Amino acid sequence: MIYQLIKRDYLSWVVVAGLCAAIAVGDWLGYVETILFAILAILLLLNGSGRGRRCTEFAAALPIRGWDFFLARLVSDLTLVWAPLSVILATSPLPSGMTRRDANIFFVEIGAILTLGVFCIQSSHVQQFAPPRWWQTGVVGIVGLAIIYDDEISPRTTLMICVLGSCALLLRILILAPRSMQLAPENPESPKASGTSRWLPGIPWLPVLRALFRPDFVMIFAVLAFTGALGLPFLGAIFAMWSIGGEVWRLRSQNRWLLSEPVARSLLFALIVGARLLSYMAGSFFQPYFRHQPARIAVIDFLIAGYLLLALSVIAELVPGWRHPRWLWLRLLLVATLIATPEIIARLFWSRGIYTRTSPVEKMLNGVLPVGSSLLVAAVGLTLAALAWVVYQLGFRQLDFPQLRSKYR
Amino acid sequence: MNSVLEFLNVVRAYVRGVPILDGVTFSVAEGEVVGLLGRNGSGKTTLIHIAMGMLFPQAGSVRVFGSSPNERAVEVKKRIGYVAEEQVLPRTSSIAELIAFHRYLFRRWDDTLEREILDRFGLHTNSKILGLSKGQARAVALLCAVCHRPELLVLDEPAAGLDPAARREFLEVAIQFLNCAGATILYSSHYMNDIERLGSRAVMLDGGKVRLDSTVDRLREEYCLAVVPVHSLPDPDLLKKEPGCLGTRMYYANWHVVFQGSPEQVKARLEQSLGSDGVRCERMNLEDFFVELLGGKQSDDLS
Repeated sequence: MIYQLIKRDYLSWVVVAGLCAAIAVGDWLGYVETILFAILAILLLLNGSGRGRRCTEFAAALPIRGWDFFLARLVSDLTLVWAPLSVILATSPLPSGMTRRDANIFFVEIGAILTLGVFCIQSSHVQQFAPPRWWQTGVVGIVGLAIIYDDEISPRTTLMICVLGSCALLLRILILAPRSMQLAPENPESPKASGTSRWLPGIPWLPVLRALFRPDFVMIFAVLAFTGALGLPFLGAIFAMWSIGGEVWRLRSQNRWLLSEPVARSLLFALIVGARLLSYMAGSFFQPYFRHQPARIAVIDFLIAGYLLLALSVIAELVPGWRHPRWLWLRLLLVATLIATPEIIARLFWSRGIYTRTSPVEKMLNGVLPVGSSLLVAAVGLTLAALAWVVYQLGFRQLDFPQLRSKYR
Repeated sequence: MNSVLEFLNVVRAYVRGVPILDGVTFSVAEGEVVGLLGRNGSGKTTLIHIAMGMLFPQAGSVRVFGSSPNERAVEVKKRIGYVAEEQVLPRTSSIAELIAFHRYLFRRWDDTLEREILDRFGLHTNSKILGLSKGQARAVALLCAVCHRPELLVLDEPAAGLDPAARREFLEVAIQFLNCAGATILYSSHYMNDIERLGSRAVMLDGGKVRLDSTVDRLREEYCLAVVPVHSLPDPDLLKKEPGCLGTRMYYANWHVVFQGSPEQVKARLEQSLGSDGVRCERMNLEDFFVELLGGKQSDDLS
């Protein structure tokens, strides 16, 4: 039964295979950032709503034990954690100052922490179809922090905590897993908990903002701010595009009501893109602290992220004929290739695969941009204004795709 | 006759103090076709989910084939077919994959019926669910629900949103299945014509309780609508005190009152007891009955 359920979750397997392939390519090109990319991707995928979900109403009506749903989900999630980590272990270049043994221990530690995270997510609300989104996002956030501050605890202690914790949580799932999965909690919620929050001001735009910025936007903000703080504009732009793609898909499928309202699509698009850009910028402020580099580099990084995001948005919006959601991945792949090409060429021909902290594109911009702080502020201000204007003018063409089914069937 | 499905004082609330079901009690016998009626939010889907073991009742008990659907979930579900409006089939699967999965789950699988339904709805087994129309997707759900020849078929507004022809096709397959196998059917719908065509018995939920439980024929024969001009009787309480009164509501310048009894008897009784002129009594179809009983603000508790 578990094999049957896993077999039908093949989209997850395609994602895992794609991630492993991306890591292998990144490692082959000699990017140490690939490790970070892999960990962030795993965390983001674990935070996806599909990952938490154990079954649907369709599946729950079938004669399948609740325990089988859990096992299938756990196998799928643990593969998501361990398959990319195995690829990293096998192919990744060693980060500076690390022996192979240290690196292996480090990755096993990360795997153990992520495994504990998977069990934490799945051990909550065991009787229901899915754990709550806030719990999933919270656990993923804490796991991310645990990975960052992993150095503080010895590997042996970390592994012991993770293994014991995972076993205890697996036992909890085993004991509490119901025979039939439940749609809602057994006990009724208190009226206060189920009511709407009252502390928010009653502004008329609140429904629009709620539709565009759901609670799990916190995760997107955290990832973008983190990439901003570490000065990884390429990674940041790709993640931003990924989340923009997801948001556009949600607008089409779940928030269709918003498209029927007299709200300018340009404004919706500007809100979606702008929020991601600002998230990256918020992280950039902390870049001097994280990378010990002058603030000017942070500004340059932010500009690169901004330009990339804009370029990606333009490509994604203007490439004709690919408006069906099923081609979204192809669009993203093309976009990623377009961004990566100059970087790959630069690495192959300029630095011969030797890892440098500052990328060739950064170096180039570093030489071009003015040095004075007032000029920098002016440059950033003008760039932002230009970005905002272009994005606003660009609109939201991807949403205009009537007759989808007849066109693509 | 044995009870296939039994609800006994079932209570269920999602928010504390606001029960959706507040002591629902009724049972469905073997081979019976029961239409579950009620307004939006009356608890029909919740009741069906409880029967399917997808929700725990907070009080009372549910028995399906004499067992609890939560405790003996797999055994019970093997004998049930289920189609719901909100049921989303796995979009990336093909029809053939879904059939193969169901064939794996249910050892007893009727290939002839499968072929028949595929032909009838013009379905190709290599089509993906993603590319199917709403009606075709619902037909696939029906196929998955009936081809293992379930003893109980649970349909939760399965034809909502379908065009009349597709809805009729859907019902015909369900009826055909019923005739062949003598299965029990619990059918929830807002289409009263469908209930009349398919159902032998109607259970009406209102205010968390069973407001009415009767056969469709009996509803037509034993109940009538009395139209009383407001000017002749300004106080509706007098009507409510009349024996056999089920509910009143104001419609323009008239009181619409549902009474138990034949139109002639009720008219004579009202004229005699209230002395009001211009009373008109008529028979109702199921839809009129539903509107008169549950429509408007008036909703009297029969208990």
